[in-house]
Amino acid sequence: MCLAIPAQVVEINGSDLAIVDLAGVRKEISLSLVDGVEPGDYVIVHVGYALQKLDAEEAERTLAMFAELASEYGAPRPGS
Amino acid sequence: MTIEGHLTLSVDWDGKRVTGLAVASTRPFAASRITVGRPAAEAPQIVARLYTVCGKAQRAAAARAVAEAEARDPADALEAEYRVALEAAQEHLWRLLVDWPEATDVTPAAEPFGRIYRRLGASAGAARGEWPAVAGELEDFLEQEVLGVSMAAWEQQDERAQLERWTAQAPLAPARALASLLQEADSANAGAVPLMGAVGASDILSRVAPALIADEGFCRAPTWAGEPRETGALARMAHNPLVAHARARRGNLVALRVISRLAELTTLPQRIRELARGRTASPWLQGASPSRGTGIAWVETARGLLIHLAEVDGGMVVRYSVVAPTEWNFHPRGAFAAALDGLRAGTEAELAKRVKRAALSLDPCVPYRIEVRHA
Repeated sequence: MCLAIPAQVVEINGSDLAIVDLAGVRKEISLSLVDGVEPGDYVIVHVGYALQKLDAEEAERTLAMFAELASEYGAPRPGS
Repeated sequence: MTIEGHLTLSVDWDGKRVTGLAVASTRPFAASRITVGRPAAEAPQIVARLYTVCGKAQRAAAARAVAEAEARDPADALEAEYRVALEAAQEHLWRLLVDWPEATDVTPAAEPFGRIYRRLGASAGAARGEWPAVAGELEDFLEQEVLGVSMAAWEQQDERAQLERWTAQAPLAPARALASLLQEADSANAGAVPLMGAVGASDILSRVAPALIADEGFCRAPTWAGEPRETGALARMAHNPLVAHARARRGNLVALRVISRLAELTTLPQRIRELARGRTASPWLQGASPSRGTGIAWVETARGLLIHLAEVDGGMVVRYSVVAPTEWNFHPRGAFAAALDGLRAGTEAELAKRVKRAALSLDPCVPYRIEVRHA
């Protein structure tokens, strides 16, 4: 299953494209599947599209959860 | 390496045909590590936060698995079914309006897709009284942007010949993509993997739960009575007249899976109306308890069957397992492997195209890349 990692919108170009910061890596994505995204907002990105907008608190909680996972990552174990 | 994970599909090719396949995954199995040791009540929220791509189904499965483990009646089952149906519509539309056109050199219908995706997303929280209007909106969209004919005209179409006429005449992206796919021939063994079929509580309790409880490795390579199964729209729609006819004529499986998606998509407005009336003849979300303190939930998603198992003790999660549809379809002996077994391709470009189409027809839920190894 695809993990949903939040990315912060750095800038918006035109109506549909944005540059996001995903854990320090900048990437261009499409905003065509979400409404009302502003610079500074967090979005969930999948295959080059923002799928969902997150509020700041939700994004922080999610990022904390991924940080916890990343600290263990490298020793994957079966089961999910 | 990213934490998101991806699939690497390594194909051995001797210049004429595929001679071997290896599927490697870097998907981290995260749900267990994040939920174990936390309150069971938080599990649905945590799981939905981890997996957005089929987040509605993930959340619904987690809530149901925990409710079963705690021997509680599941709350909001109807609302969960409604959200899962909307999410399936969004995914089917994405494949049919954007991904399949792109894979067949047809211009994708990106603008209409974005419009309906946002609309369905915004409708997920609608009150039950508004569901018929959501169904009507989806139906109008299907007529205008997917089928190019009325739903009534579409439903009369149960012969492959009629489907071929539709693909030849309809000017829309899904019809043009399908027209191209209908030309292809399968590898000899493409149909070797049986379809999953309808999954009831007795099947899950006798065939899946014991294997999953005994061996967590089951999550990575699940089987049904020891054998792989294909899950997804084709497995669910095998009895649909259009799909059954196409199948009886031994049409290629890639096209058949696309036809099944399309056929299922056209049933979703009616499904949403049934849910608005408070019932569904075929629930997509179900649950059971294999033993005290353990709950299992299974839900049909666009990609196929998703299973969650939760063990709860004193209100805390002590064990959590997820079996995703991708694990069934990309099993080492599964439907994807069968599609490639002996597949003929005279050039590397042809090979790459066929492998990509086989993968997209089974639609892995993680990004994937294809690697050709010269045998």
